[in-house]
Amino acid sequence: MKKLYILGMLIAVIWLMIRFPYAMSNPGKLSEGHTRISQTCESCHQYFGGIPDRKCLACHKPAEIGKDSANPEKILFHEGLTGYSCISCHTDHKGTNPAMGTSHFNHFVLTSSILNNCSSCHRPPADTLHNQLTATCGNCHNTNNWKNGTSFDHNMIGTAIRNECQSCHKPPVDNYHQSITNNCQKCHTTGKWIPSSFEHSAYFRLDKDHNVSCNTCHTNNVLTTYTCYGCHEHTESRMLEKHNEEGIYNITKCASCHKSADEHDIKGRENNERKKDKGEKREDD
Amino acid sequence: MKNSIAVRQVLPFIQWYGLMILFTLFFDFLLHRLQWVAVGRYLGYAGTALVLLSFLYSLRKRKIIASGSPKQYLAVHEYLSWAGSILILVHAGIHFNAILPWLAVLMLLIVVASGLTGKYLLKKANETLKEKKKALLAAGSSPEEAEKKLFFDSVTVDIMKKWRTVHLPITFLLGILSLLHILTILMFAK
Repeated sequence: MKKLYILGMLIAVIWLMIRFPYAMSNPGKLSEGHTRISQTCESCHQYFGGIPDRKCLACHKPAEIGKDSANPEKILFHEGLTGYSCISCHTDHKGTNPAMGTSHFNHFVLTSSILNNCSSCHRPPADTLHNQLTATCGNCHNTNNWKNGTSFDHNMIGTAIRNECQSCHKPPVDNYHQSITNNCQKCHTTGKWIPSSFEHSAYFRLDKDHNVSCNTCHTNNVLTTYTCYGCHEHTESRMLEKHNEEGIYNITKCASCHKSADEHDIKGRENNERKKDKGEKREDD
Repeated sequence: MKNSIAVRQVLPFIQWYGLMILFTLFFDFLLHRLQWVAVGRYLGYAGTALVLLSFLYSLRKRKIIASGSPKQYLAVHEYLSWAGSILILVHAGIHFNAILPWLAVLMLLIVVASGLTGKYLLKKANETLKEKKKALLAAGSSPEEAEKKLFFDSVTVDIMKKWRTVHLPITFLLGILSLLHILTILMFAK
Protein backbone atom coordinates (compact mmCIF):
# COMPACT_ATOMS: atom_id res chain seq x y z
CA MET A 1 0.00 0.00 0.00
CA LYS A 2 2.83 2.36 0.95
CA LYS A 3 4.57 1.63 -2.34
CA LEU A 4 1.38 2.54 -4.19
CA TYR A 5 1.22 5.87 -2.37
CA ILE A 6 4.79 6.64 -3.34
CA LEU A 7 4.28 5.60 -6.95
CA GLY A 8 1.12 7.72 -7.11
CA MET A 9 2.93 10.78 -5.80
CA LEU A 10 5.82 10.28 -8.20
CA ILE A 11 3.43 10.08 -11.14
CA ALA A 12 1.53 13.14 -9.92
CA VAL A 13 4.66 15.27 -9.68
CA ILE A 14 5.96 14.19 -13.09
CA TRP A 15 2.53 14.88 -14.60
CA LEU A 16 2.52 18.37 -13.08
CA MET A 17 5.99 19.07 -14.49
CA ILE A 18 4.91 17.96 -17.97
CA ARG A 19 1.47 19.58 -17.89
CA PHE A 20 2.52 22.93 -16.32
CA PRO A 21 6.29 23.24 -16.98
CA TYR A 22 6.44 27.06 -16.81
CA ALA A 23 4.27 27.48 -13.74
CA MET A 24 6.21 24.76 -11.96
CA SER A 25 9.70 26.07 -12.68
CA ASN A 26 9.47 29.71 -13.82
CA PRO A 27 11.15 31.77 -11.08
CA GLY A 28 9.36 35.02 -11.97
CA LYS A 29 7.84 37.15 -14.71
CA LEU A 30 10.06 38.23 -17.58
CA SER A 31 10.66 41.91 -18.32
CA GLU A 32 8.21 43.68 -20.59
CA GLY A 33 10.33 43.32 -23.74
CA HIS A 34 10.78 39.59 -23.23
CA THR A 35 7.11 38.77 -22.69
CA ARG A 36 6.74 37.21 -26.12
CA ILE A 37 9.44 34.63 -25.37
CA SER A 38 8.11 33.76 -21.93
CA GLN A 39 7.07 30.26 -23.08
CA THR A 40 10.32 29.43 -24.85
CA CYS A 41 13.05 29.04 -22.26
CA GLU A 42 15.61 28.03 -24.87
CA SER A 43 15.44 31.53 -26.39
CA CYS A 44 17.82 32.62 -23.65
CA HIS A 45 18.82 29.44 -21.80
CA GLN A 46 21.03 26.73 -23.13
CA TYR A 47 20.13 23.58 -21.23
CA PHE A 48 22.86 22.83 -18.69
CA GLY A 49 24.92 25.63 -20.28
CA GLY A 50 23.67 28.77 -18.57
CA ILE A 51 22.87 31.85 -20.65
CA PRO A 52 25.46 32.25 -23.39
CA ASP A 53 26.02 35.74 -24.82
CA ARG A 54 25.21 34.54 -28.33
CA LYS A 55 21.60 33.95 -27.25
CA CYS A 56 21.29 37.61 -26.21
CA LEU A 57 23.22 38.90 -29.22
CA ALA A 58 20.88 37.05 -31.58
CA CYS A 59 18.36 39.82 -30.84
CA HIS A 60 20.37 42.64 -29.23
CA LYS A 61 23.15 44.22 -31.32
CA PRO A 62 25.54 46.08 -28.98
CA ALA A 63 25.83 49.07 -31.33
CA GLU A 64 22.07 49.44 -31.38
CA ILE A 65 21.25 48.86 -27.73
CA GLY A 66 19.36 51.89 -26.50
CA LYS A 67 19.11 53.74 -29.80
CA ASP A 68 15.33 53.80 -29.62
CA SER A 69 15.12 54.63 -25.93
CA ALA A 70 14.10 58.00 -24.51
CA ASN A 71 17.68 58.66 -23.38
CA PRO A 72 19.84 56.94 -25.99
CA GLU A 73 23.03 58.58 -24.71
CA LYS A 74 22.43 56.79 -21.43
CA ILE A 75 22.68 53.36 -22.94
CA LEU A 76 24.82 53.70 -26.07
CA PHE A 77 27.96 52.49 -24.38
CA HIS A 78 27.46 48.77 -24.84
CA GLU A 79 29.56 48.63 -27.98
CA GLY A 80 32.63 49.68 -26.01
CA LEU A 81 32.18 46.95 -23.44
CA THR A 82 34.47 44.01 -23.97
CA GLY A 83 35.43 41.09 -21.78
CA TYR A 84 32.15 40.91 -19.93
CA SER A 85 29.20 38.63 -20.50
CA CYS A 86 25.70 40.10 -20.75
CA ILE A 87 24.70 38.48 -17.46
CA SER A 88 27.48 40.38 -15.65
CA CYS A 89 24.96 43.22 -15.50
CA HIS A 90 21.65 41.89 -16.78
CA THR A 91 19.25 39.32 -15.46
CA ASP A 92 15.54 38.61 -15.83
CA HIS A 93 12.57 36.95 -14.14
CA LYS A 94 12.47 39.93 -11.76
CA GLY A 95 9.12 41.29 -12.94
CA THR A 96 7.95 43.23 -15.98
CA ASN A 97 9.86 46.42 -15.13
CA PRO A 98 13.08 46.24 -17.22
CA ALA A 99 14.98 48.29 -14.61
CA MET A 100 14.70 45.38 -12.19
CA GLY A 101 16.84 43.28 -14.52
CA THR A 102 19.96 45.42 -14.19
CA SER A 103 20.44 45.04 -10.45
CA HIS A 104 23.73 43.20 -11.10
CA PHE A 105 25.19 46.24 -12.86
CA ASN A 106 28.50 47.38 -11.51
CA HIS A 107 30.31 50.49 -12.67
CA PHE A 108 33.61 48.61 -12.95
CA VAL A 109 32.64 47.32 -16.40
CA LEU A 110 32.60 50.85 -17.82
CA THR A 111 35.52 52.49 -19.59
CA SER A 112 37.13 55.42 -17.76
CA SER A 113 35.78 57.95 -20.29
CA ILE A 114 32.22 56.88 -19.48
CA LEU A 115 32.96 56.43 -15.81
CA ASN A 116 34.21 60.02 -15.49
CA ASN A 117 31.19 61.47 -17.21
CA CYS A 118 28.40 60.70 -14.75
CA SER A 119 25.89 62.99 -16.43
CA SER A 120 26.01 60.87 -19.59
CA CYS A 121 23.89 58.35 -17.67
CA HIS A 122 22.71 60.11 -14.51
CA ARG A 123 20.55 63.23 -14.58
CA PRO A 124 22.01 65.75 -12.11
CA PRO A 125 19.62 66.59 -9.26
CA ALA A 126 17.64 69.75 -10.02
CA ASP A 127 17.88 71.27 -6.55
CA THR A 128 19.39 74.62 -5.60
CA LEU A 129 22.53 73.02 -4.25
CA HIS A 130 23.40 70.94 -7.30
CA ASN A 131 22.37 73.65 -9.78
CA GLN A 132 25.20 75.96 -8.75
CA LEU A 133 27.88 73.28 -8.45
CA THR A 134 30.66 73.11 -10.98
CA ALA A 135 32.81 70.49 -9.29
CA THR A 136 32.81 66.93 -10.62
CA CYS A 137 30.33 64.50 -9.08
CA GLY A 138 33.14 62.26 -7.84
CA ASN A 139 34.19 64.91 -5.34
CA CYS A 140 31.16 64.06 -3.22
CA HIS A 141 29.78 60.80 -4.61
CA ASN A 142 31.19 57.43 -5.47
CA THR A 143 29.87 54.58 -7.56
CA ASN A 144 29.47 52.18 -4.65
CA ASN A 145 26.86 54.21 -2.85
CA TRP A 146 25.45 57.32 -4.45
CA LYS A 147 23.74 58.80 -1.42
CA ASN A 148 25.71 57.63 1.57
CA GLY A 149 29.21 57.22 0.17
CA THR A 150 29.72 60.96 0.17
CA SER A 151 32.65 63.10 1.17
CA PHE A 152 30.83 66.40 0.84
CA ASP A 153 32.81 69.58 1.44
CA HIS A 154 30.88 72.82 2.03
CA ASN A 155 33.75 74.79 0.49
CA MET A 156 32.67 73.55 -2.93
CA ILE A 157 29.47 75.56 -2.83
CA GLY A 158 29.22 79.31 -3.31
CA THR A 159 29.31 81.66 -0.32
CA ALA A 160 25.75 82.85 -0.86
CA ILE A 161 24.27 79.35 -0.50
CA ARG A 162 26.83 78.30 2.11
CA ASN A 163 25.42 80.96 4.41
CA GLU A 164 21.86 79.85 3.74
CA CYS A 165 21.97 76.69 5.84
CA GLN A 166 18.20 76.34 5.78
CA SER A 167 18.19 75.94 2.00
CA CYS A 168 19.54 72.41 2.59
CA HIS A 169 19.25 71.70 6.33
CA LYS A 170 15.98 71.49 8.18
CA PRO A 171 16.18 73.61 11.34
CA PRO A 172 15.76 71.65 14.61
CA VAL A 173 12.19 71.80 15.85
CA ASP A 174 12.88 72.67 19.48
CA ASN A 175 11.68 75.93 20.92
CA TYR A 176 15.15 77.46 21.06
CA HIS A 177 16.07 76.82 17.44
CA GLN A 178 12.64 77.90 16.25
CA SER A 179 13.24 81.32 17.75
CA ILE A 180 16.49 81.80 15.77
CA THR A 181 16.53 82.74 12.11
CA ASN A 182 19.44 82.54 9.70
CA ASN A 183 22.17 82.70 12.25
CA CYS A 184 23.27 79.07 12.40
CA GLN A 185 26.98 79.92 12.08
CA LYS A 186 26.89 81.51 15.51
CA CYS A 187 26.84 78.04 17.05
CA HIS A 188 27.51 75.57 14.22
CA THR A 189 30.30 75.11 11.72
CA THR A 190 30.31 73.35 8.36
CA GLY A 191 33.05 71.06 9.69
CA LYS A 192 30.83 69.41 12.24
CA TRP A 193 27.15 70.07 12.86
CA ILE A 194 27.00 68.25 16.19
CA PRO A 195 28.28 69.20 18.70
CA SER A 196 27.72 72.85 17.98
CA SER A 197 30.18 75.53 19.00
CA PHE A 198 27.53 77.06 21.27
CA GLU A 199 29.29 78.33 24.38
CA HIS A 200 27.04 77.67 27.35
CA SER A 201 29.70 79.17 29.65
CA ALA A 202 28.85 82.58 28.25
CA TYR A 203 25.55 82.21 30.14
CA PHE A 204 26.36 79.68 32.83
CA ARG A 205 29.35 77.38 33.31
CA LEU A 206 28.23 73.74 33.51
CA ASP A 207 30.73 72.75 36.19
CA LYS A 208 30.58 70.48 39.23
CA ASP A 209 27.01 69.26 39.76
CA HIS A 210 25.69 71.36 36.90
CA ASN A 211 26.84 69.00 34.15
CA VAL A 212 23.33 67.57 33.80
CA SER A 213 20.86 66.97 31.01
CA CYS A 214 19.39 70.09 29.38
CA ASN A 215 15.91 69.22 30.60
CA THR A 216 16.94 69.60 34.26
CA CYS A 217 17.07 73.37 33.87
CA HIS A 218 15.32 73.92 30.53
CA THR A 219 12.10 72.07 31.19
CA ASN A 220 9.67 70.97 28.47
CA ASN A 221 12.36 71.35 25.78
CA VAL A 222 12.12 75.15 26.03
CA LEU A 223 15.72 76.34 25.78
CA THR A 224 14.94 80.05 26.03
CA THR A 225 13.94 79.83 29.70
CA TYR A 226 15.38 77.97 32.65
CA THR A 227 14.81 77.20 36.29
CA CYS A 228 17.29 76.53 39.08
CA TYR A 229 14.62 75.27 41.43
CA GLY A 230 14.72 71.84 39.81
CA CYS A 231 17.66 71.09 42.13
CA HIS A 232 17.93 74.02 44.50
CA GLU A 233 14.98 73.35 46.69
CA HIS A 234 15.06 76.55 48.74
CA THR A 235 11.81 78.46 48.76
CA GLU A 236 11.57 81.58 46.69
CA SER A 237 10.43 83.72 49.66
CA ARG A 238 13.46 82.69 51.70
CA MET A 239 15.82 83.45 48.83
CA LEU A 240 14.12 86.76 48.16
CA GLU A 241 14.61 87.76 51.81
CA LYS A 242 18.28 86.80 51.64
CA HIS A 243 18.82 88.74 48.40
CA ASN A 244 16.91 91.76 49.70
CA GLU A 245 19.59 92.10 52.36
CA GLU A 246 22.03 92.69 49.47
CA GLY A 247 19.69 95.18 47.82
CA ILE A 248 18.59 92.71 45.16
CA TYR A 249 14.85 92.58 44.61
CA ASN A 250 14.48 90.60 41.36
CA ILE A 251 15.68 87.00 41.67
CA THR A 252 13.84 85.44 38.76
CA LYS A 253 16.96 85.25 36.56
CA CYS A 254 19.59 83.52 38.72
CA ALA A 255 22.10 83.14 35.84
CA SER A 256 22.14 86.85 35.16
CA CYS A 257 24.28 87.12 38.36
CA HIS A 258 25.41 83.57 39.19
CA LYS A 259 27.61 82.32 36.36
CA SER A 260 28.80 78.99 37.76
CA ALA A 261 28.62 76.62 40.72
CA ASP A 262 30.97 78.94 42.60
CA GLU A 263 28.67 80.93 44.86
CA HIS A 264 31.18 83.80 44.90
CA ASP A 265 31.26 83.97 41.10
CA ILE A 266 28.77 86.81 40.81
CA LYS A 267 28.39 88.82 37.62
CA GLY A 268 29.67 92.42 37.82
CA ARG A 269 32.83 93.51 39.58
CA GLU A 270 31.04 95.50 42.26
CA ASN A 271 28.71 92.67 43.16
CA ASN A 272 31.48 90.16 42.91
CA GLU A 273 33.71 91.99 45.35
CA ARG A 274 30.80 92.61 47.69
CA LYS A 275 29.97 88.92 47.72
CA LYS A 276 33.59 87.92 48.12
CA ASP A 277 33.93 90.25 51.14
CA LYS A 278 30.82 88.73 52.61
CA GLY A 279 32.20 85.26 52.01
CA GLU A 280 35.50 86.06 53.65
CA LYS A 281 33.69 87.55 56.60
CA ARG A 282 31.65 84.42 56.94
CA GLU A 283 34.76 82.29 56.77
CA ASP A 284 36.38 84.51 59.44
CA ASP A 285 33.35 84.01 61.60
CA MET B 1 -8.94 19.85 29.66
CA LYS B 2 -6.45 21.71 31.87
CA ASN B 3 -4.17 18.65 32.11
CA SER B 4 -5.03 17.17 28.74
CA ILE B 5 -2.35 15.76 26.45
CA ALA B 6 -3.04 18.53 23.96
CA VAL B 7 -2.10 21.18 26.52
CA ARG B 8 0.81 19.32 28.14
CA GLN B 9 2.48 17.95 25.01
CA VAL B 10 1.01 19.49 21.87
CA LEU B 11 1.68 23.05 22.98
CA PRO B 12 5.41 22.44 23.69
CA PHE B 13 5.62 20.77 20.29
CA ILE B 14 4.15 23.89 18.67
CA GLN B 15 6.74 25.96 20.50
CA TRP B 16 9.58 23.90 18.96
CA TYR B 17 8.04 24.19 15.53
CA GLY B 18 7.49 27.90 16.10
CA LEU B 19 11.14 28.29 17.06
CA MET B 20 12.15 26.92 13.67
CA ILE B 21 9.89 29.48 11.94
CA LEU B 22 11.20 32.29 14.16
CA PHE B 23 14.84 31.38 13.45
CA THR B 24 14.01 31.35 9.75
CA LEU B 25 12.40 34.79 9.87
CA PHE B 26 15.29 36.14 11.93
CA PHE B 27 18.01 34.87 9.56
CA ASP B 28 16.00 36.02 6.54
CA PHE B 29 15.65 39.48 8.08
CA LEU B 30 19.37 39.52 8.90
CA LEU B 31 20.39 38.63 5.33
CA HIS B 32 18.18 41.37 3.92
CA ARG B 33 19.33 43.88 6.52
CA LEU B 34 23.02 43.19 5.86
CA GLN B 35 22.40 43.03 2.09
CA TRP B 36 23.70 39.46 2.04
CA VAL B 37 20.69 38.10 0.15
CA ALA B 38 22.99 36.28 -2.30
CA VAL B 39 24.15 34.10 0.61
CA GLY B 40 20.63 32.57 0.63
CA ARG B 41 21.46 30.62 -2.53
CA TYR B 42 24.33 28.83 -0.78
CA LEU B 43 22.23 28.11 2.31
CA GLY B 44 20.23 25.81 0.04
CA TYR B 45 23.34 23.69 -0.53
CA ALA B 46 24.27 23.75 3.17
CA GLY B 47 20.74 22.87 4.31
CA THR B 48 20.45 20.02 1.81
CA ALA B 49 23.85 18.68 2.91
CA LEU B 50 22.74 18.69 6.56
CA VAL B 51 19.47 16.93 5.77
CA LEU B 52 21.26 14.33 3.64
CA LEU B 53 23.77 13.77 6.45
CA SER B 54 20.89 13.21 8.85
CA PHE B 55 19.82 10.22 6.73
CA LEU B 56 22.74 8.28 8.17
CA TYR B 57 20.15 7.27 10.77
CA SER B 58 18.02 5.62 8.08
CA LEU B 59 21.07 3.73 6.85
CA ARG B 60 21.85 2.58 10.39
CA LYS B 61 18.25 1.59 10.99
CA ARG B 62 18.23 -0.52 7.85
CA LYS B 63 21.59 -1.99 8.92
CA ILE B 64 23.39 -0.63 5.84
CA ILE B 65 25.67 0.97 8.41
CA ALA B 66 26.54 -1.70 10.96
CA SER B 67 28.28 0.21 13.73
CA GLY B 68 27.21 2.96 16.13
CA SER B 69 24.39 3.44 18.57
CA PRO B 70 21.05 3.83 16.74
CA LYS B 71 19.93 6.18 19.53
CA GLN B 72 22.82 8.51 18.77
CA TYR B 73 22.12 8.28 15.05
CA LEU B 74 18.51 9.22 15.80
CA ALA B 75 19.61 12.24 17.82
CA VAL B 76 21.91 13.32 14.97
CA HIS B 77 19.04 12.81 12.52
CA GLU B 78 16.73 14.98 14.60
CA TYR B 79 19.10 17.88 15.17
CA LEU B 80 20.72 17.95 11.72
CA SER B 81 17.42 17.78 9.88
CA TRP B 82 15.93 20.50 12.10
CA ALA B 83 18.94 22.79 11.51
CA GLY B 84 19.04 21.90 7.80
CA SER B 85 15.34 22.72 7.50
CA ILE B 86 15.97 26.21 8.87
CA LEU B 87 18.71 26.81 6.29
CA ILE B 88 16.49 25.52 3.48
CA LEU B 89 13.60 27.70 4.62
CA VAL B 90 15.87 30.77 4.67
CA HIS B 91 17.10 29.75 1.20
CA ALA B 92 13.47 29.60 -0.01
CA GLY B 93 12.64 33.01 1.45
CA ILE B 94 9.19 34.45 0.98
CA HIS B 95 9.19 34.73 -2.80
CA PHE B 96 6.10 33.35 -4.46
CA ASN B 97 7.36 32.33 -7.88
CA ALA B 98 7.83 28.81 -9.24
CA ILE B 99 5.39 26.26 -7.81
CA LEU B 100 7.90 23.39 -7.70
CA PRO B 101 10.18 24.76 -4.97
CA TRP B 102 7.15 25.92 -3.01
CA LEU B 103 5.68 22.44 -3.08
CA ALA B 104 9.05 21.23 -1.78
CA VAL B 105 8.90 23.80 1.06
CA LEU B 106 5.38 22.71 1.94
CA MET B 107 6.51 19.08 2.09
CA LEU B 108 9.49 20.10 4.22
CA LEU B 109 7.17 21.78 6.73
CA ILE B 110 4.97 18.67 6.88
CA VAL B 111 7.99 16.37 7.28
CA VAL B 112 9.38 18.46 10.15
CA ALA B 113 5.98 18.60 11.84
CA SER B 114 5.52 14.84 11.59
CA GLY B 115 9.09 14.25 12.75
CA LEU B 116 8.60 16.46 15.77
CA THR B 117 5.41 14.57 16.54
CA GLY B 118 7.40 11.37 16.71
CA LYS B 119 10.17 12.92 18.77
CA TYR B 120 8.32 15.00 21.30
CA LEU B 121 4.77 13.85 21.50
CA LEU B 122 4.00 10.23 20.95
CA LYS B 123 6.01 8.55 23.71
CA LYS B 124 5.10 11.11 26.36
CA ALA B 125 1.48 11.16 25.25
CA ASN B 126 1.23 7.37 25.52
CA GLU B 127 2.74 7.45 29.00
CA THR B 128 0.42 10.23 30.14
CA LEU B 129 -2.62 8.39 28.80
CA LYS B 130 -1.64 5.19 30.64
CA GLU B 131 -0.97 7.11 33.88
CA LYS B 132 -4.31 8.87 33.69
CA LYS B 133 -6.14 5.62 33.00
CA LYS B 134 -4.35 3.92 35.89
CA ALA B 135 -5.26 6.80 38.22
CA LEU B 136 -8.91 6.72 37.19
CA LEU B 137 -9.13 2.95 37.71
CA ALA B 138 -7.42 3.27 41.09
CA ALA B 139 -9.94 5.94 42.04
CA GLY B 140 -12.74 3.46 41.47
CA SER B 141 -13.84 4.25 37.93
CA SER B 142 -14.87 1.35 35.75
CA PRO B 143 -12.82 0.74 32.54
CA GLU B 144 -15.75 2.06 30.46
CA GLU B 145 -16.01 5.23 32.56
CA ALA B 146 -12.22 5.75 32.35
CA GLU B 147 -12.28 5.39 28.57
CA LYS B 148 -15.19 7.83 28.34
CA LYS B 149 -13.34 10.39 30.43
CA LEU B 150 -10.18 9.92 28.39
CA PHE B 151 -11.93 10.04 25.01
CA PHE B 152 -10.33 13.32 23.89
CA ASP B 153 -6.85 12.18 24.96
CA SER B 154 -7.28 8.82 23.19
CA VAL B 155 -8.22 10.56 19.94
CA THR B 156 -5.17 12.83 20.23
CA VAL B 157 -2.85 9.84 20.74
CA ASP B 158 -4.44 7.95 17.83
CA ILE B 159 -3.75 10.90 15.54
CA MET B 160 -0.15 11.08 16.77
CA LYS B 161 0.38 7.36 16.10
CA LYS B 162 -0.05 8.10 12.41
CA TRP B 163 3.05 10.30 12.29
CA ARG B 164 5.23 7.73 10.54
CA THR B 165 2.63 7.10 7.86
CA VAL B 166 3.00 10.79 6.99
CA HIS B 167 6.72 11.23 7.73
CA LEU B 168 8.16 8.61 5.38
CA PRO B 169 6.12 9.09 2.17
CA ILE B 170 6.22 12.87 2.45
CA THR B 171 9.99 12.70 2.96
CA PHE B 172 10.16 10.70 -0.23
CA LEU B 173 8.02 13.28 -2.04
CA LEU B 174 10.21 16.04 -0.63
CA GLY B 175 13.22 14.22 -2.06
CA ILE B 176 11.64 14.01 -5.53
CA LEU B 177 10.61 17.67 -5.52
CA SER B 178 14.03 18.75 -4.30
CA LEU B 179 15.74 16.70 -7.01
CA LEU B 180 13.49 18.24 -9.67
CA HIS B 181 14.20 21.71 -8.26
CA ILE B 182 17.95 21.08 -8.39
CA LEU B 183 17.60 19.65 -11.89
CA THR B 184 15.74 22.74 -13.18
CA ILE B 185 18.39 24.97 -11.58
CA LEU B 186 21.18 23.00 -13.29
CA MET B 187 19.27 23.18 -16.57
CA PHE B 188 18.49 26.88 -16.53
CA ALA B 189 20.75 28.67 -14.10
CA LYS B 190 23.31 31.17 -15.28
